[in-house]
Amino acid sequence: MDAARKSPCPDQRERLVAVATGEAARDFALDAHLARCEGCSAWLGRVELHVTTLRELGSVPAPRDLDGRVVGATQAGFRQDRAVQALRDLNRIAMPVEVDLAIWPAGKSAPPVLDRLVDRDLQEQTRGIARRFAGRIERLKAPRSLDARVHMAWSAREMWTRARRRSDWRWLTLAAALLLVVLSVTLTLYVVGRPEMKRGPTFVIEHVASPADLDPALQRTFAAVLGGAPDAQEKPW
Amino acid sequence: MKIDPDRELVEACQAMAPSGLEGASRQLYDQYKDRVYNVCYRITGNATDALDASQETFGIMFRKIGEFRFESKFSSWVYRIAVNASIDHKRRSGTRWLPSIETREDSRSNESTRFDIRDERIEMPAAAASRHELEVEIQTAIGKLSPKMRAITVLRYVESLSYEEISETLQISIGTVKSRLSRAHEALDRELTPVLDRHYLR
Repeated sequence: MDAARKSPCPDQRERLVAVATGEAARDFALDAHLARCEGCSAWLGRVELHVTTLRELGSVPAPRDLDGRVVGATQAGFRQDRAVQALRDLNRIAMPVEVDLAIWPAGKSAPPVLDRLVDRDLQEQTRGIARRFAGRIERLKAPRSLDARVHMAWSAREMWTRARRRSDWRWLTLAAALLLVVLSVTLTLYVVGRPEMKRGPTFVIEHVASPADLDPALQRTFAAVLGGAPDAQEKPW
Repeated sequence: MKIDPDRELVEACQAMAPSGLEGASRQLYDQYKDRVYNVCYRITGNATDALDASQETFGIMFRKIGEFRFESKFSSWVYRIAVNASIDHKRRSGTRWLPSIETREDSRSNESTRFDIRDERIEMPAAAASRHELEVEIQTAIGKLSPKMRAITVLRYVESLSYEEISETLQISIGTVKSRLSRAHEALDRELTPVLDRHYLR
């Protein structure tokens, strides 16, 4: 890489620009750094050249017509300011009572004619908007396929209606028969299945003269509850 | 705080009833018109936009001068208006800056002190053309900078403001001034170095 195009050290960049523009002075430390850093040294040289070139750009005098434009602009500005101030200074004037009374006679509500007038005005505006915008909406032509679709749909519907009219009585008979069959089946199932559904737990009352006559399983249950074999002699059942 | 050199004139302007450019306001205008126009020209990059931006700057300046409270230097305040007007104008017009020969010819025809230093040496036509070409290329390089960096470059090199004055004008810290100027030089290095090499080595 060419030494002249080497990048300067990032921490020195701003300082070198300040030195090149005359905002900061060179010192021993900077000189020592520049002596051993080619990038910074080259960068300083380039920035100094840019600064000289930019400063030589010199001054462009304002064109003569600027005077006229500034005079015009400032005077217009002052006029505008004065007009704004004058408007701000205007006192607020309350509407005279006479005007109020002329519009709304004391103790009376607005005459019906006012309602009609306002209503007509509003409607007129709405119509005006509708007229104005209706003309702007683009009118589209229906596609040819629409005709065919509508025709097909219409034909299918006609066919279905005719067929239904011809076979009305047959459908009714069939529906009634079906209904009858369904009702019979439901009733039969209900009647047959009812006792089964109502049956709950069964209890058997049995008279036993001696514990020995008990069922062995019941005997063991009693023994467990009473802490031993039931004494048939002392407490007969 | 240093006394503002424009204080007397500004106070005279504030005291008088707003009217056209007369008396103190005329003096103030004469004092600033070239400086403002230069800033606007270098930032916008063409004479037409510079004229519009300068007009806007003075319009604002004279309308708001009554509200100026010397919290900063008057010149900083004016430069700030000019920079903002130029950047706003450029943004509004939405035109990309491209220096045209016609534009430069226009401004040359209006000016008499454009090349004061060189004129004294009576430049040869070829040298003058070469300088003109170089100026266009420099202005192109400036035009390629971002508005913030362009403003800082113009204030530093065209108007010779110090870092402190730039900081006051643009209402940014001195650190920001340094870093923006450094970045501006990095961008200028890419654009300007080949141009200068070509110009000085041929």
